Formats: sequence, C-alpha cells, structure tokens
Amino acid sequence: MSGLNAITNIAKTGLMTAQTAIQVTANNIANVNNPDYKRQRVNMSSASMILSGGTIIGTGVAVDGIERVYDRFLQLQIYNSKSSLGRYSKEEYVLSRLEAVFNDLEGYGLTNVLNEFFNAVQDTANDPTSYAARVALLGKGDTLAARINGMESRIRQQTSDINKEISGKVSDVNNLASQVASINQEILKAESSGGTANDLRDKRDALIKSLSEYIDITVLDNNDGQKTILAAGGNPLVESAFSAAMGVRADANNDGNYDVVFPDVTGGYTDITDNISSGSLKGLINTRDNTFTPSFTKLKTIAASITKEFNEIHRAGYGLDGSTGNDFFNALTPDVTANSTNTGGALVTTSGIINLSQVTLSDYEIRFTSSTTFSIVDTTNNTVISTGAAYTSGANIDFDGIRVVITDTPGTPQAGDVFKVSITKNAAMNFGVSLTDANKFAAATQAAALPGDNRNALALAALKDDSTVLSNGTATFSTYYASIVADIGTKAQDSSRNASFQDVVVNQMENNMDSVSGVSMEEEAANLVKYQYAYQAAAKIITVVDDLFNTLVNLVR
Amino acid sequence: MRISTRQTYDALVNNMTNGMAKLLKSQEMFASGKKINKPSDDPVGARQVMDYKDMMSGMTQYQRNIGYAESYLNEAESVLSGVSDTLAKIKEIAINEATGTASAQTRASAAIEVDQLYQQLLGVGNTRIGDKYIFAGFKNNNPAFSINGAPPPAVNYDGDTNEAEIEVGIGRKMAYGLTGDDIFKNTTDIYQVVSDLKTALEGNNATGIQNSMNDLDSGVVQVSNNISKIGGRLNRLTAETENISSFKLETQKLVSNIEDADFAKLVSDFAQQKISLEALQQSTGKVLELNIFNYIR
Repeated sequence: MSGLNAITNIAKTGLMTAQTAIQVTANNIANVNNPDYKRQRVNMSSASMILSGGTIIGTGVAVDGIERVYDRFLQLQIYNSKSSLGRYSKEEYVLSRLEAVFNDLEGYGLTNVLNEFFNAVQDTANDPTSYAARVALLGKGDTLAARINGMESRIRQQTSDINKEISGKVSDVNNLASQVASINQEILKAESSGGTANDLRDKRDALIKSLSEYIDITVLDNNDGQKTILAAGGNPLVESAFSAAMGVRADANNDGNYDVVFPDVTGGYTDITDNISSGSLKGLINTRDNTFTPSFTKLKTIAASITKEFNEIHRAGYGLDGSTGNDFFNALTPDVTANSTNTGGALVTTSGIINLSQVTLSDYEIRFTSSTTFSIVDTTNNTVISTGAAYTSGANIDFDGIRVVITDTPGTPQAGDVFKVSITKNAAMNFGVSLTDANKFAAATQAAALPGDNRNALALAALKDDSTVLSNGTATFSTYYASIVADIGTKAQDSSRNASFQDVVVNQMENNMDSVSGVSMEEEAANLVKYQYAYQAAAKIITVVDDLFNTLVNLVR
Repeated sequence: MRISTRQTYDALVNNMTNGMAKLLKSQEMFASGKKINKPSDDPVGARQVMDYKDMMSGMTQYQRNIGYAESYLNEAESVLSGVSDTLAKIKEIAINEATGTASAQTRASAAIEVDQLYQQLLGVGNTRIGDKYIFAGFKNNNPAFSINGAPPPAVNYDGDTNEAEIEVGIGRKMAYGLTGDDIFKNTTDIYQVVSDLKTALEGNNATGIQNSMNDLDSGVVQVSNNISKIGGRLNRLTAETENISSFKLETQKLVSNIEDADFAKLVSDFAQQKISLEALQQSTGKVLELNIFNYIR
C-alpha cells in the first residue's frame, strides 16, 4: 500500500508543481506588456530521496522557488545610461529655447536691427538737415533698444524657468526617494517569511529607474534585500527605510540662481551643486551656469559697449539747435552691491561715472582688508587696481572713470567686506534712447559749421566697423555678437547629438535587459503546452494507481 | 540572442518613427528652402552666413550713400556747364566793346546785358536743391554769396570751406562736396571780374574792358577745372558702385552655397525615405500577424 500511496504522492507533486508552473506562466503572459515586469520561472528540483525496499527511490518533484530572471549588472547599466540621457535631452531642450532668442537666421537676434540702426546713422550723415532722416534714426534706435530689452527679458525669464525646474526636479527626487524607502520596508517584511517579493522588487526597480533620470546615483544591495542609494557622488539618499530630502537655496553671489543642497549630519545643508554629474539636474545646472550666464553677460556687455562708445562721440558733437554734451542712449550707471556675507555696517551712498572715456566695462570688487584700508580688484581681468588705500567715510573712491562713495552708516566696514561694482549688470535692461528731440542729434563736429556739418555723424557711423570696441580691442559689435550665436549653436548641436546617441545607448541597454528578463510569448506558449502535458501525465498516473488498487482489491474477493 | 515580445514591438515602432522623422526633416527643408534653419543645424556655416549677410547690408548702405552723392554731383555739373556758357557770352561782349567800333552808347547797353548775366552767375552760385544751398559748404542753410553793397558791388562768400564726405567702404570716406569759394572766387574772383567789366562798360573805359578779357579766360579755365573735378568724382563713384554690385553678387552666391537646400538631392532623398518607410510599414504588418496562439489549438 505504501508503494501505491507513494506513487499517488509522487503524482500529486507532479500535479501541484505543474499547476504552480502554469500559474507562473499565466502570470508571465498576463504581464507581457508591463515594461517594469521581469519574467519569473519556477525552479524545480527532485524531492528528497528515500530508502525503500533496499533501493533509493525518488519521491517526486518540489518547487524550490519562483525566481525572478534578472541581471543586476544590466540593470545598473540602464540606470547609468538613463542618467546620461536625462542630462543630454534636458540640455538639448533648454539650449533650443535659448537658441531661438539668438536665431538671426530667422530674423531674431541682434544683427539686423543693429545694421539698420547704423544705416540710419549714415542716412543722417548723408543729409544732416533732413528732419525725416533724424526722426527715422531715433525710430531705429528705439527698435534696437526694444530688441535688446526683449532679448534680456527672455533670457532672464528662461533662466528663472530653469531655476524653477531645478526646484521641481529636486522635489521629484525627494518624492521618489521616500517611495523607494517605504518599498524597502515592505520588501523586508514580505521576505522575512521566505521567498522573494518579485512584484515589489519590480516596482522598486521602476522607481529607481525614474530616479536615475534626474540625478546620478549609485545603487548598492544590502544583504537583507533592501537597497541603498547614493546620489551626486556619495550622498546617502536612501538608506533602508530612511530617505533624505534635498533642497534648493538661492545663491546671492550668483544672481540668485539656485544651488542644490543636501542635508548634513549637523542639521544644516551642504552645497552639492558641483557634485551632481548626470541626470536632468546636471543638464539644467550645466546649461544655466556654462551657457546661459556667460551669454547673458556678453549680451549685457554689448549693450554697455554700444552705450559707452556711441554716447562718448555723441556728447562731443552738436545738434542742429547748437546743443552739445547730450547722450543719445540712456547713460550707463554702475550697479554697486554689498556682499550678503559682509559683517560690517558700511553702505554705498552714491555711485556714478565721472569720466566715460576711462570706463572699461569690467566688473570690480572693493575689498576691505581692515576697517580703514581697502583694495580694488578688476575681477573680469583678474588685475589689481590698487591696494592698501586708506578709507575715509564719505570720501570719493575713484577708479577707471567710476566714483563710489561708501559711508559708515549704520556702521563701519570690517575686514573681509566686499562691495561689487558692475557697469554691465543692468546695461541691457536699461538700454534705451534718451534723446527725444531729433534736432538734438549731434551730427556736427563744430557749432560754427552747422547745419551741413556731418562729420560727427560719420564718426558715429564708423563705430559699426570699429574693431577695437570689444574683446580687449579685437572685435566689432557684430563679430562679438556673432561669436555668442556660434557658441550657443555649437553647444546646442553637441547636446542634440549627444542626446540622439544616448537614446541609442539606452535602447541598447534596455534591449539587453529585455533579452534576459523580457517575456517571450512563444516561449510561454511552449511552456504552457509543456506543463499541460505534465499535468495530464501526472493525472494519468493517479488513474493508473486507482486501476492498480482496484485490481488489488478485486484479487481478494 | 533571446528576443522578448516587447522588444519586437518596440523595435518595429522605433524603426517606423525614425523613418517618419527623417521624412519630416526633409519636408522642413522643402518648406524653408534652406539647409540651415537655426544655428545648431550647422554652427560654422551659420556663423559664415551671418558674417556675409552683415557685409551685404553694409554694401547696400554704401550704395545708398553713393547715390546721394551722385545726385548732388550731377546737379552741380549741369549748372556749372551753364556758367561756362555765360562766361563765354560775356567774353564775346567784352571783345565787341573793346574794339574801335564800340561807342559810349553800345557800351552802355552792353553794360545792362552784362549786369543781367552777372545776376545769372550770382544765381548759380546760390543754387538750391530743396532747402540746401549746394555751394555753401557746411553752412548750407543760407545763400553762399551775398552782395555786401560797398561800391563797387563786391560779393562775399558766406559759406565755409568744408567739403562734405560720404562713406563708401569700411573705413573709407570720399569727399564729394564743392564750395562756391573754390569755383567762383579763389584764384580768379569771377564775380569781381564781371562786376569790374560792367563798371568799365558803364564808364566807357576801353582799357578796363581790355583788361577784363584775360581774367575772363582764367575764369573759364577755373570753372572747367571744377567741372572736370566733378567728372572725376562721378567716375570714381560709378566704379565704386560697380565693385559693390559684383561683390554683393559674389557674396550672395557664397551665402546660397552654404544656406540653400539642394533641391535635386532633397527630392531624391525624400523619394528614398518614402519607399523605405512604406517597406517598413508593410513588413511591420506582416510581423504583427505572427502569433503562436493561432497554431495552438
């Protein structure tokens, strides 16, 4: 009897196993289109052998477990390539927006309006007594100003959008990180009673994949089934059930642009902006700091240079009404700000330009080495203008055509205090035509030679081709501007190519993963047939055993 | 290599979308006619195109400037040729009245005729185009010449000696203006000469009449020198304009080479991409039909 029972038991294991196998196959088939699903397979092994009637004989089959088919290395490759794709596709998008502002090929940008302005100057030089030509000149000046103001405002808006997006992405990262942390906990609980929580692991991998698009991560497996995630070069973002919350912080010394910060052990935050090496956050930070900010500064420099050079020549000339010393464009004014880290109480009371021809358009810092001495540094060219100058509250501080007055209200300056001086900072925003009376346009060089004297107008027109106005005396307004456009175009093209290439790489990595873990309908169909046969055959065994039993019983009737 | 079901579908879809993307890119070039629609399409080419277009805009302005100078010079030339004729007529009168056949009466009536011609010459010196006196240098809002009333009527030049300039090329200026001073007064004071002749005729002064003839000759030479000067300037301006025109043409060709889409190539590329996409779509359809469950009962 035990033999027959044994056979029945064996058949039973066959049935149960086949049933489990079919269930797993059914699960695979149902999840064929689930992109996060890793196929599962049943691992079978022989049930333990026993000694029976002098021989060792098997007792059927047992299910060892339901295995998730998965290659950890391939998964990590996917995370890396997704990070890179996240970075380059974000850069491509952001740069295409910036490029549209500078697209002279489609009629945006500065080249056309600048040319038309200088052409209008020449028309006035041809006919300095023509009121129509003068009015047209003021009009073209307004058009130029509107374009510069417009470009400035668009770049400022796009930069602000980038900062907002950085903040948004940081929130998304925090959100995903906390979800991963809670799944870590769930997996720990589910697996504590044995087996692997396959669907929870699939879900966790999907979350980590999303996370990798935002920022560069390193994923480590703990022995207890939980995962640790380090972000931006080693900062612990997820550890078991705990997730850190990153933040953003406006940097007053970088025009209020956001830094990304990570909480540190003391309860404060450290700046990790420079440690982020991949992901869409890197793309945003990289384009903002290495393309937007420099292009913005260069646009401002052009505006400041046009203002300075044009006004300088214009002031020396005479209008039709004999007036002189007038500005054509809104006069340049220096922007002076105290560093947010200053500890002293001294403030700037007045600032201005005292000699336009000496102005260099550089940025400066007035650095206090003690409460009574300061040095002046040209931070654009990294040269020292003066050191050890004695400070008196309320005295004029003159350098390179600029005058700054600092006074001890409400307190004295301290060592380490810095005041930043910039001519270009607001030059594009404030750019505009200040002349309202067309008759005051200074076309003439001598009051005695009015009204036909056009020599000052010719000098103004010649500024267009003056190659000493920018880039330390090597570029005209147009060539300087063209180099900005070319730079943006090159970077946009690079990021576009990188994004396409990276797209292919991600595709390849996902294919590799799919090749191992993806469900193949054909395979599952064949398995279905295979397990069905096994089930049928096992059932047949029970029928046979039943038959054998009947034969036995009927023997003794 | 093992291929999962999802991979199959994804690959089919990717191939078709890539094929469509290529087709659309060709279409974009059809629509604009250009290979370069934004700087990132070809940064180096875009930079060159921008530089060339910048140059051409400058060229067009120079042509405008030249046109302005040419119209001034043409007007000046036509009124000055009238001056030569007038001076010739005055000389004829002087010749007639210097001979023995002249009498006090003939001289008196000749004086009246000379006076008319004198006024005519004064009028030419004060030629206006629009509201500008063209021979007054920079001080062109007032007549170039005025009679100062002190006998004998002397004529003052009230203009200045500046010759107006235009810009004809990068950093190149050219003077085109003429001053009444140079034409009518400098070496030979034509007005004084004619005025003196008139006085001599009125005073029946044969020697005076005789003396004026050499001066009249010098006057004619002076005027014709200035007419030649105008001719020279007009020639130079024409040469500049022609240079600029051919330069613009060449530059436009360079821009087209870089910027314009090659339509012949575009059309054949487009045809190829279309065929390729159609083949993709057909084969995708066939692959999608394959399903093992059709064959397992």
